[in-house]
Amino acid sequence: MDQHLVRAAQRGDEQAFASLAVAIGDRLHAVAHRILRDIDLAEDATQQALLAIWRDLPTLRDPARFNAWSYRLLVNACYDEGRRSRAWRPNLRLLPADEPAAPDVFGRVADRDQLDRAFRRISIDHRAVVVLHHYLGMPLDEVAETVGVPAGTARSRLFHAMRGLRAALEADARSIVREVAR
Amino acid sequence: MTTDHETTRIVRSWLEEGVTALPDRVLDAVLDQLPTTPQRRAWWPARRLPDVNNALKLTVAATAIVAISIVGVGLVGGRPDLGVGGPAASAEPTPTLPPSPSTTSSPSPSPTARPAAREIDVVAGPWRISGTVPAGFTSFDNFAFWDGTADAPDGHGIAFWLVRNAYRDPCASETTAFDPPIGPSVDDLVDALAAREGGIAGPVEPVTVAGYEGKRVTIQVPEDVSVSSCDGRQYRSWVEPDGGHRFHQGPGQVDELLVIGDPTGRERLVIDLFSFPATPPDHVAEIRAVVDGLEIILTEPATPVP
Repeated sequence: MDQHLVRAAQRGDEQAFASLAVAIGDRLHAVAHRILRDIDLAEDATQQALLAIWRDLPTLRDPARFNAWSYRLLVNACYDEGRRSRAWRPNLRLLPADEPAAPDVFGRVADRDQLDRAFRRISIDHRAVVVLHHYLGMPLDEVAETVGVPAGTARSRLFHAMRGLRAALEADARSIVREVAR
Repeated sequence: MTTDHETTRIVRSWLEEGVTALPDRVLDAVLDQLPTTPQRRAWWPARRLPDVNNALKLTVAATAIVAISIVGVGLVGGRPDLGVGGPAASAEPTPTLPPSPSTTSSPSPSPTARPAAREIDVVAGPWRISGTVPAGFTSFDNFAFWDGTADAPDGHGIAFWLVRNAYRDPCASETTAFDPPIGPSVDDLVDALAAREGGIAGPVEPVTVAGYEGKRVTIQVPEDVSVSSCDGRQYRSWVEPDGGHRFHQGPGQVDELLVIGDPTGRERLVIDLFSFPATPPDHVAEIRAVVDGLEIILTEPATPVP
């Protein structure tokens, strides 16, 4: 990230912030969508995060840390949206099946559905760790810093989340075996 | 049987799917709101008199000295516990606080309070707080409100905080965050404040604010601390969920904290009544009276524990 832009935005330069927002908007939105699994909530969370970034930029002491810091605000916005959705909506709207970006590399639509259901069942704390680590490729210590927990907690969250997802995949596989055996 | 490696591969492939582009309308909505979204300055930054010339600085300083003297004279005998009276006043590190209202919504003790004239409507995470502050109070980012100034010698006001973690040593905040971070309950924060360097001032008391139960705890910045030598040149008590810090405005500052929470112990709000030992008692009473008129709503249930 261009640190000059960050510094200019810290001083209240709206044009500089607009350039920053364009540069990071897609990435933030992609992460929010993967954490929340809901397109409307993801848009709201991204909007909320971008405004929080603008509002709080002057408190960022090290512009070199802008990316990690902005992901932290995004994750906080995802928490807020997740809570809001539980408060005001009886259920999350199910995602329309996204068009796969590539051929179905993991084989079965059932896997995807199973993963989606399993992912929705875990907390946003756990989802955030999975997405930051496995989607953004963040090292776990950076994930820990981003979500504001000790590294051990981040490791534990990743372990439990992945264990849940693995169990969901295995349950799905067992049900398919039973179907075939009938 | 799915191996860990295979699970990781499947999850990563699955995460690659889905939207990536932020719709223009969302970006436009953000940019449209910038002019009406004030940027948050580092909390009450060290921009004391940054843009004024030396003559004005001297004038303000002289005015402050006169004000302190008047306040000191007015309080001698009546409020010896305040430790006011100019530089020669008590340098004891022990806090000298004005008495607090006992516990639950006490009647307003402020016969000289100005008419409540400014309505406030504060959003702090899941909390919505409404009420009024006296005429002339300034809003800072709609979460802190003070009367003229927040700084020494007599600044005072009220602020609403969410706290993610606290520091064992407020002067060494870069290396002393509690690890693991403190929990979300009222007692988690009160215990952390008590455990930190300098501890707390006075007893911890039960309190009820707008129907929410909690604890009243008072902290005070040591009179002899050299804030300029602290990490980041700030004496920091805690960090907010978004990474902002509550740092204090100078030695001696007193923060009477009303820490309330929901019955599950998973949502917490801190109402911070801040003042200095030289703040006139009726002004302290004035900010306490603000609390009596607050209406507080927890709009969302606590996040379920997985």
